[in-house]
Amino acid sequence: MKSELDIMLTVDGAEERTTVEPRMLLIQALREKLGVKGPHIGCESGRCGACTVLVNGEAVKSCMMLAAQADGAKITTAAGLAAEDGTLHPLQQAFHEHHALQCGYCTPGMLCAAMDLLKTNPKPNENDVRQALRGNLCRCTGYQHIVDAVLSAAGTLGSGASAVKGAAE
Amino acid sequence: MNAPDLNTAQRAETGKHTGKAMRRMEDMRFLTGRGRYVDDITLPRQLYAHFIRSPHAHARILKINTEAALAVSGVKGVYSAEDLHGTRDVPPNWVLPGSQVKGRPALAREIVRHVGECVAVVLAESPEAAADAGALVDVAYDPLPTVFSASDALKENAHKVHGDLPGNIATTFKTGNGGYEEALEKAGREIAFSLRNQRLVPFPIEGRAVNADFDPATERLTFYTAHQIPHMLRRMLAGALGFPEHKLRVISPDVGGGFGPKMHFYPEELTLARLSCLLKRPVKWTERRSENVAATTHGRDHEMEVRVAVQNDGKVLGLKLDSKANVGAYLSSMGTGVPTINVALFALGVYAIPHSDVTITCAYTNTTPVDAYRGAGRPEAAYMIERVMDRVALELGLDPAETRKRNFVQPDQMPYAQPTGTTLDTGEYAMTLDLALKNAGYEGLRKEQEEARKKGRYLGIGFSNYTETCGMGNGYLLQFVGFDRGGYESAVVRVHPDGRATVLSGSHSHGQGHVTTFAQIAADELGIAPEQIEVLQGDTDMIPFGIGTFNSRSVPVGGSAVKVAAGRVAAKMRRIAAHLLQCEPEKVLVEDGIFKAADGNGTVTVERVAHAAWTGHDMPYEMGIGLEETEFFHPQSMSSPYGAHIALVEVDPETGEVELKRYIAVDDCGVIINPLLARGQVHGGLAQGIGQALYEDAGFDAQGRPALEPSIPRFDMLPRFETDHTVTPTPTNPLGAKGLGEAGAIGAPPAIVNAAIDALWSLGVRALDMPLTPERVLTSIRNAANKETEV
Ligand code: FES
Ligand code: FES
Repeated sequence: MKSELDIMLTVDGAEERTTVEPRMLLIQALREKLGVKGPHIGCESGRCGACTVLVNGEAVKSCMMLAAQADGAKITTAAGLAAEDGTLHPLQQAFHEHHALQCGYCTPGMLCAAMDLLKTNPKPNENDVRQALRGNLCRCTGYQHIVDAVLSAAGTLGSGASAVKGAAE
Repeated sequence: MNAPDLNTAQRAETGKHTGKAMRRMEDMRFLTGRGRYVDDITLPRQLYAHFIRSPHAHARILKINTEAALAVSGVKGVYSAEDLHGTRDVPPNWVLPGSQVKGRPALAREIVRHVGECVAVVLAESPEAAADAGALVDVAYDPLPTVFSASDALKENAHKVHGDLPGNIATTFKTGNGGYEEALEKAGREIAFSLRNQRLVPFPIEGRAVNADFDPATERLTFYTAHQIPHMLRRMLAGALGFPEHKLRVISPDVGGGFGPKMHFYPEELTLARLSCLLKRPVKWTERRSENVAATTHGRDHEMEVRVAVQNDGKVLGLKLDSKANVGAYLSSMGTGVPTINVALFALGVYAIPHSDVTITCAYTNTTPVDAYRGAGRPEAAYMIERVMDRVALELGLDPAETRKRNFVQPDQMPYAQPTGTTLDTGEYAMTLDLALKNAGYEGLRKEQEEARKKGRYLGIGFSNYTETCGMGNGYLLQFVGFDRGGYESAVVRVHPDGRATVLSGSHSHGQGHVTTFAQIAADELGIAPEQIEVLQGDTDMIPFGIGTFNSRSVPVGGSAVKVAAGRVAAKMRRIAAHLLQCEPEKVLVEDGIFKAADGNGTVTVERVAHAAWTGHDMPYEMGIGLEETEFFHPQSMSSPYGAHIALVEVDPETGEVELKRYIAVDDCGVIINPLLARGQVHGGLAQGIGQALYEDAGFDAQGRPALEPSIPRFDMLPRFETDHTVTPTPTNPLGAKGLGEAGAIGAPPAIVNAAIDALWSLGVRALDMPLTPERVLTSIRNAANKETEV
C-alpha cells in the first residue's frame, strides 16, 4: 500500500542504503533507519536546531527535510568532523576548551551550524556569530561560551574575552 | 582608596586539582555525536507508545472509541485507566503538613483537569504506527467550567477543580514572628505593591523520555528514563506499581538538560512501567515538544501582595507578605513544598528585618501541575524582597546600594536565624556588593544615566542581592516539613589494583560536569591524577543510594561525600604505604601516585599499594583487605549562597523595548571546585533568569492551552555576562562549597525589572510585571501618564 522509496546517503563518509516512506523526515531516517544518533530531536518543527546536519556542506535542520529529498546527498554530522585518527576538528577542540557544552544535547547540531557559519564567514565577529546561530537553541550554556568557542576557532576571539579569573590554565 | 582584588584575596585554599579550570573529561562523546540519551536506546521487541491527551482544561470523558486505531497495522493495543487496575495515582513526595493531596492519575479517570492530561495510550510496533493510530482514537468529552489563576480559584463561588475539595485550597502556610502593625507604627511609612512571578515552561532541549523493559525471565523491570534522581524515582515507581524495589533498576543515561522538571515522577512513567509488566515487552516513549509544554511540570506562577514598614533612613522594620501560588490541577512531586517553604523562608532575603508576617495559599486550578524549576521558590522570594529594596530606595530618594547596606545582616551576626525559619550560614554581603559596584563602575554608570536622561534616553540600573539555601539538610528537618526524602548523598570510592579509581555517586549530572568536578575532588584526596578516576552515576543497580541532583546540592553534598570517602581510602593507602616504607603513616607524603616518607628514602607507587591492599601480600592481617569506602554524607544544615547582581538597561519609551546593556554578577558560592564549570553554571542560570525577566511566559490561551512556542532566549537575545565571585566558605560541609546551579535564575529577574523601573521612575512608572515585553512596558508608561493627568 504505502510506497517505500530506496535512497542512498553518504553519512560521515560511509555509503548507506535504506528504504523510507515518502513522508519520513531526514532526522528520522538518520536516527531510526541508519542508527546515526548524533543529531537529536528537540522540537521537530525547525525551531531548536538540535537536528542540524550538513547536507552537501550546508547546515540543514534535518527535521525540515524529507529523507527522500536527501537521496544521493553527502551528510556530515558531528561524528564526521574529527580527523580519521580521531583528532578533534579545531571547532570541536574550541568547544572543549571554552566549556561550550553542558548537557551536550544541542552540541552536535550546534557544531554543524557553526561549521556552516565559518565556511561562509571565516572571520566572524561576536554579532555575526550570535546572528548566524540564532536558529539553534541551547538551554544550558547561556551561549557566551559557545560564542567564545566559535570566535576562537576562527581566530577572532579578543584576547582574554572570557579568561577565568584566578584560574590556572 | 586602593581596593584589594577581592576575587583573589578571598579565594579559599584549594588543592592541586580543585580550584583549577580543568576541561571536562566527559566532553569527548558529546562533541563527536556519541552521547547516549534515552531515545538513543532501542531494545529487541521494542514497542512504542503514543499518548492521547486532553485538549480540554476541564471535561468529563464520555467515551473513548478505539476501533479505528486498533485497525491500524502494527498496533498492539490502546489502553485507558481501566486497563491499569492496581496502579495508584502518582503521589507527591513533598507534602506540607495539612495539605489536601490530589495526585496525578496515571491515565485520567472520568474527568480531565488540564490540557495535556493523559487519557489513553497506544502501543505499536513502530513510532509511526503508534502516532497514526493515536490520531484515530476518538474521545468524546463534555467540557466543564474552568479556572486558571490562583486568585480566581480562591474566589468565593469559584468552581471546583476537584469536586470534593471546596475552596480549591491545597494548603495554607504561615510563618514569621509577627508584629507588623507595631513595626509600621514605629517606622511611620508604608510601601505596598503587588507583584507576579509568571508561569514558566522549563524547556530542556531534550524532552522527557522513557523505555520500560520488564524481563519475565528474571522478573526484573529495567527502567530507562531521562531523570535527575534515579533512586527517588525507583522508590516512588515501586510504590505506585506495587513492584519490589530491589528488582526495579532505574537507569538514567546522558540527560539533555533538566532544570527541575526531570526530578519528578510522572503519569507517563507509571503507565509505561505498568504496560511493560503486563505485555512483557519493552515500551518506549519520547516526549514531543507539544507534549512537553503541556504535560511536563511548569515553574513559578505566584502572585504576591507585599507591604513593608520603612523608616525615612531606608531601614525596613517590618514586612507583610500575602501570596497565592498556583499548583495546577494536581500535586506534582514537590507540589506544596516549593511554593511555601522555599518561598516563605527566604522572604527576608539577606536583610535584618525585625518583624515579618508571611501567608502563602496554594490553589488548585485547571492547568499543568507546577513544580520545581531552577531556583524553585527562591526566585519568587528574591524577586519580592529585592523589588522591595529598590522600591524603598526610589521612594525615599536613596541610593539602592546604600539602602541595602543599611539593612544587611552583618558578618558578625552569622549564623543568622531569620524569623521566617531559615538560617543564613555565612555572608559578607557588603563586601560582595562592593565588588559588584566596582566591577560595574557604578559611579560612572550613574553619571552616564544622568547624561543620557538629558538627551531623552532612559537608562536604568537595578540591583539584586539574592540569597537561597542549598543542599538539603538533616533528614529530621525534612521530615518536619513533610519532605519524604533524605538530605544526604552517597559516594563510593574504590581504588583498583592498577592504582586507578572509580567513584560512584548518588547525584546525577544532566550537564553539570560531575565526571570532572568529582574526579578533581577525589584526585586531591587520593594523590592521583583526575584522568585516572572514572565517575559513574545514574544506575540504581550500581550506586548504593542517591538523593540526586537538584537544589544546587551536587557539589556541596555529593562532592563532600566523595571527599570524605576518598579521604578514608587515602588514609588506608597511607597506612599501607607506611608499612611498605617502614615509617609512620603521618610521615607519608603522596603526589602523582607516588608515596614517600617525609624524612626517609624510598618510594612506593600507588599500584604497589593497591596491589598489597587487594591481595593482602606483604601486609599484616590486621590491615584488612581492599581499598574501598562508602560515605553517606549527611549535612546538619544547609548552606546559603548569595550574590550581588547589577543590571543596566535602556528602555525606549516610544516602542517599549527594553535593552539589557550590561549584566554584572558577583556570586558567592563558597569554595569553587572548578571555576570554568562554575562560570558555565552561572551563565546558564542567568540566561534563564533573564529569560524570565524579558521574554518567557507559559502563555495560556483562553482555553487553557499553553503556548506551543514559549519565547526561550536565543543567541541574539542575551548579552555578554560579566561574572565574578567572592568566596566565604560555608562551615556546613568539608569542601566549604555552597552550591551555584540556580544562582543566576534567582538573581537576574529582580535586577532587570528594578533596572527597568529605575529607567522609567521619572515617567511615573511604579508597576511593571514580567516578562517585560514592549506591549507591557508601553501599557505601564501609558497608565502612569493617565494617572498623572487625573491628579
Ligand atoms: S528538531 Fe529539528 S529544529 Fe528542532
Ligand atoms: S548544552 Fe544543554 S542544551 Fe546546549
